Amino acid sequence: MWTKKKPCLRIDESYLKCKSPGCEFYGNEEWHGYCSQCHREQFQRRRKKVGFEVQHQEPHNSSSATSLKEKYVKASLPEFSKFEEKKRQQTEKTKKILSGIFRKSPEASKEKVRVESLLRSELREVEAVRQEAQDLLRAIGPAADADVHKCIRSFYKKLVQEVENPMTAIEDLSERTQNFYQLLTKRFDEQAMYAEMTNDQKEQLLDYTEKYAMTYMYQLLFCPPTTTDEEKDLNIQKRIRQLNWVSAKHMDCGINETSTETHDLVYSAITELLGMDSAKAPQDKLACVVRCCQKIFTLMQYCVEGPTSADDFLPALIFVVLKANPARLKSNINYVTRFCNASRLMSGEGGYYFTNLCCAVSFIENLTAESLNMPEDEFSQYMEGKIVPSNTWESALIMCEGMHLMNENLLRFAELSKKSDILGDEAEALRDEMVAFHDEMLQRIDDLKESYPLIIKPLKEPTDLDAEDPIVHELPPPLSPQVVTEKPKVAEIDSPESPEWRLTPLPDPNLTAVNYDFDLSDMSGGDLSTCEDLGTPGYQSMETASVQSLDLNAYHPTVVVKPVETPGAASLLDDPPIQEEVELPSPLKPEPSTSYQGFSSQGWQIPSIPCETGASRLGSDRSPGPMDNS
Amino acid sequence: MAREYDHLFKLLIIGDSGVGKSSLLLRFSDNTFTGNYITTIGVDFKIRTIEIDGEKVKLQIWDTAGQERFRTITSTYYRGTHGVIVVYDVSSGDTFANVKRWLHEIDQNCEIVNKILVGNKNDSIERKVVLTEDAQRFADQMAIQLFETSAKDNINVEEMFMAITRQVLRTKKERKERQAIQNSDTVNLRKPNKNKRKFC
Repeated sequence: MWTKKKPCLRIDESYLKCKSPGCEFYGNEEWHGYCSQCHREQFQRRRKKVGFEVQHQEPHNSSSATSLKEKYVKASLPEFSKFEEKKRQQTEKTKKILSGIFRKSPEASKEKVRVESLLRSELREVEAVRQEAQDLLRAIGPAADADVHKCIRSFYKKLVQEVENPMTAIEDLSERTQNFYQLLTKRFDEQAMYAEMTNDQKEQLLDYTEKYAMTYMYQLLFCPPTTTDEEKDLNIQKRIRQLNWVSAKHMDCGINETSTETHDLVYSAITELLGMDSAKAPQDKLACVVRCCQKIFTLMQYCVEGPTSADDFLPALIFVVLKANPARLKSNINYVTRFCNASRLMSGEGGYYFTNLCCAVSFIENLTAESLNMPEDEFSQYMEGKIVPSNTWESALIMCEGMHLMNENLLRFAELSKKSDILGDEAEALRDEMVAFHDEMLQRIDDLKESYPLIIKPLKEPTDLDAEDPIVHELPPPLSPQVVTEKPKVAEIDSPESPEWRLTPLPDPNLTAVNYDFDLSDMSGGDLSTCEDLGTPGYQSMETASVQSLDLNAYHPTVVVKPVETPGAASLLDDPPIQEEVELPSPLKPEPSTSYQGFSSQGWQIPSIPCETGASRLGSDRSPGPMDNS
Repeated sequence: MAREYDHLFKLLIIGDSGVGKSSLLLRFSDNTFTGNYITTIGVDFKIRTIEIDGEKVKLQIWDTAGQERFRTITSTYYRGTHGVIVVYDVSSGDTFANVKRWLHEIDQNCEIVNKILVGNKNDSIERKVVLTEDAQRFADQMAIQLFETSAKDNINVEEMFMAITRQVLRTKKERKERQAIQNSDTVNLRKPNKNKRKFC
């Protein structure tokens, strides 16, 4: 269909011709509209002129150099078109800004420092490059290895010198680099130390040299501030952004925008193309382009029947470039063009694909309504963003993305339901297990209950324990005091019935008080003196015994039955007071009465003492307990 | 020298879209002499080594997009090209009419280059509209060799590629003799380019 169209895209031939009058050749934008020869002549002339002026002026620093350059630009401008002038001025502006950033001080030494620091930042990568080529370097032997690196060093020293000179144009650097490659090739062929190498090795070595040198000097040579590369980058980026509405349909490249495989391939092609910016050596950049193009070829096999041709490939590549909008596209292309070994660019796969990429970029730059086969007004409306095509790549992407997401979610759901099934099964199993465990536990408990029946002991148990206390049994027999005191009285009281009677009904507050006092005195060691006053040890023992028995009774009123067990003790306790009351003349009477009083008062005043001392002394909690309760 | 080839030539194949440039390439690189070609990476970047008069010639053939809208940008392809194959479709008069423009394109981009004219799809007489006589007359007028081929039926394809290679080789040797380049035993790709004037 294109063949039928008239060649409307063509530009007038005069526009393409070299700018210098009388020249028959075609010009190039890169060379400011001159053909290569005229451009070279112009350039040489300009340099001479500038060099001359510089000699007459003060030793050049960067600021004067910039102004000089401006001067010269203005001086040599007349034959340039107005557009060129404007562009140039813009460039100067950019340059000024850039130089402001990079050259903080106009002194050359500082400049050198900058260059060196730039180079140093690449050292690690350079080392990596060297490591990669270890095998090759070992194969060619140490002499050749050293020679190659010597060449590289001298080359980069020269190049750095040139870079430091603000008068140096990028074309010079490029030329020097290309010369370096050629000289190296020649050297490999002629020098004796390289004689044993195969052609393959020589090529590899050249490749390595290029990679090494270019990685090392990347910062200096990539998008240098002396060129308009950066501006061009921004322009093309803006242009591509403006063209974001262009779809595969517009490009007529047969890419089916809705299929998933296509998408993946387009994405991977875009990724490869974007990777170009991060590579440093020219051949690495080329390799990125090659990989991108190979992906596009795979893509074309999906989309186009029959053999894939450049007729399909180039539009597809343009489409990918448009969708990728790679960073610093122009800088990258220029860098590769300038510093990649020219022989590689003119032949070979890398060269072919790179050429295609250049074509794609120049197509994008010159894209018009006709090249997309659409009416002019529609095109301009698209460009101005007035209308948005319904079937853009983006919308297709969104649709596909949705489908993609849906599929993915479905898969995920299936997985989840499977997992939840498993979970349910496991939960059921767990429940069964738990029931079984429960049953088993119950069973075991029953078994245990049978084998070890639980006997709930009566509540009186503690008192029982107390009563059974061996100490109580070991107490001195009730009769021992009788020997000391008057026999007839004791005998009288000794009657089996009497002690119980007296003990149980004795609600007399005095008596209980007395009893407690005894208890207290007994426990608190400090009161021993009063006890001693009582006189004979026999009395003491008798009293303590009685206290204990009384204690119990007073304490557990419910267990009143128990006192039967210690009849002797109780009776003994009761005895003395009775005796005192009945028989006044007994020698013991006055003393105990006074002591009792004192004890009681003292005891009540310090109630806490007995608890502690009693516990520690007696080793049983019998006595303190009752006291608190009462 | 133990090179796998003695000469490395870059050929460009141009012509309108759909005349069968890629088919010609495929036929040439993937057909009979399969042992000879080295790699086929991609479909439109073909390398094949052939032998002419005992010399090994490695051919790199670059396919180009033929659409009208890409016409102005294809100039970069011509850089370092040794020979150009101009293809038209014998069943389409328009493609033949465009040949003149393609030749002009070549002249614009390269000063001296070997050219060959190829009428492809020459496999059905009833569909043929570009007569051999007309084409031959035109070719003579332009001083170009003409081949009528069919990639589909494999007619004349091999011969055509051999012919252009022979031409390129002869041109190279003539130039060598004329300029008496000293290192005649190596193929220096840059040398011929330097002698040419290019505006790509």
